[in-house]
Amino acid sequence: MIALPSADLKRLVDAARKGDRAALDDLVRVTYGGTYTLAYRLTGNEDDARDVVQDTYLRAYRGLRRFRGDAQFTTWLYRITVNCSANLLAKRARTRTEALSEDEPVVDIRPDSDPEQRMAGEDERARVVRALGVLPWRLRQVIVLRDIYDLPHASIATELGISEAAAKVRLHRARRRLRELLAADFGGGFGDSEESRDARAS
Amino acid sequence: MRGLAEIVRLRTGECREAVDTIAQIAAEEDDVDQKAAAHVAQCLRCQAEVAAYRRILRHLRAMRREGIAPPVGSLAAVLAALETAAAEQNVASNTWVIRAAYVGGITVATAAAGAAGVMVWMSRRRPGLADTG
Repeated sequence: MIALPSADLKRLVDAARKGDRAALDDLVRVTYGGTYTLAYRLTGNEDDARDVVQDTYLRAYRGLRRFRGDAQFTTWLYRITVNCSANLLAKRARTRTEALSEDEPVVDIRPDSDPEQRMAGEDERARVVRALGVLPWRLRQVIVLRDIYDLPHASIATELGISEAAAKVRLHRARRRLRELLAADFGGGFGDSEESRDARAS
Repeated sequence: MRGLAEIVRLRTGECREAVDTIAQIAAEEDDVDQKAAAHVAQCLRCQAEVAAYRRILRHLRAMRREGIAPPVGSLAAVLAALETAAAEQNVASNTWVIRAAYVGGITVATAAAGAAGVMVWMSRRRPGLADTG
């Protein structure tokens, strides 16, 4: 995202609200990078990120007159992005015939399960990014919003349309899953997921 | 007195119960379960987990400052989509104005015709009234 002083951003927003097309285009240009990055982090792939971003800006355009300006424009835009990505991924999950459940085991990305990858010597950051990418989208969403974008639990709950308690539970689950995926790279872990414990107890 | 095996088993159980707290401690969150936090404070295995999770968090937080380059042409596609949406909105808005004018015209014409009808009826009734008077 191009860094722009908030006063300049506000001027652009005001002009765009009054129907200034050039101001609207500039507003898109200065916020595009940030919106795309968030969409990519939430969806985990380029095609979906492109769809989400386009949908986000169309919705923002249609709702611009209703934007009251009491929140930061970028915050408002990011909320729409989260919403659009949730809608897209939920719709996709409903229409997928193989219906990958959150409870199903995710792909094993540990380097020791893939000697070639280990040889390639990916650095830690790349492994974290890959692990994030293979998390089920509902779990990835909370990690992105909390651990990358530092949103408070209450805001995450609002954005996802769930209770704060449910958002916290989902975050715990997401962090556990991420930690399991990275066990080989970041040392041991407890090597015993909640799911496997549940399975053993039953 | 507890045997070594039992101590290890209990400790492992406490470690598992503290697993969510470990991430919270690493993330420096406020609402940490105090019992689990007390366990983590005296358990080297859990402290190693906190350190590992801190490393993961460091990478996640660093992503906040890193942008992902959008694919070439995607910005242009969004601007074009907005252009189309704006044009559609203008057409919709013009259509609405035309419809409003059309409906307004019909309403005015109907009202005028009604008023004219009433006036004709009134003018025709007057002689009759005069006859009865």
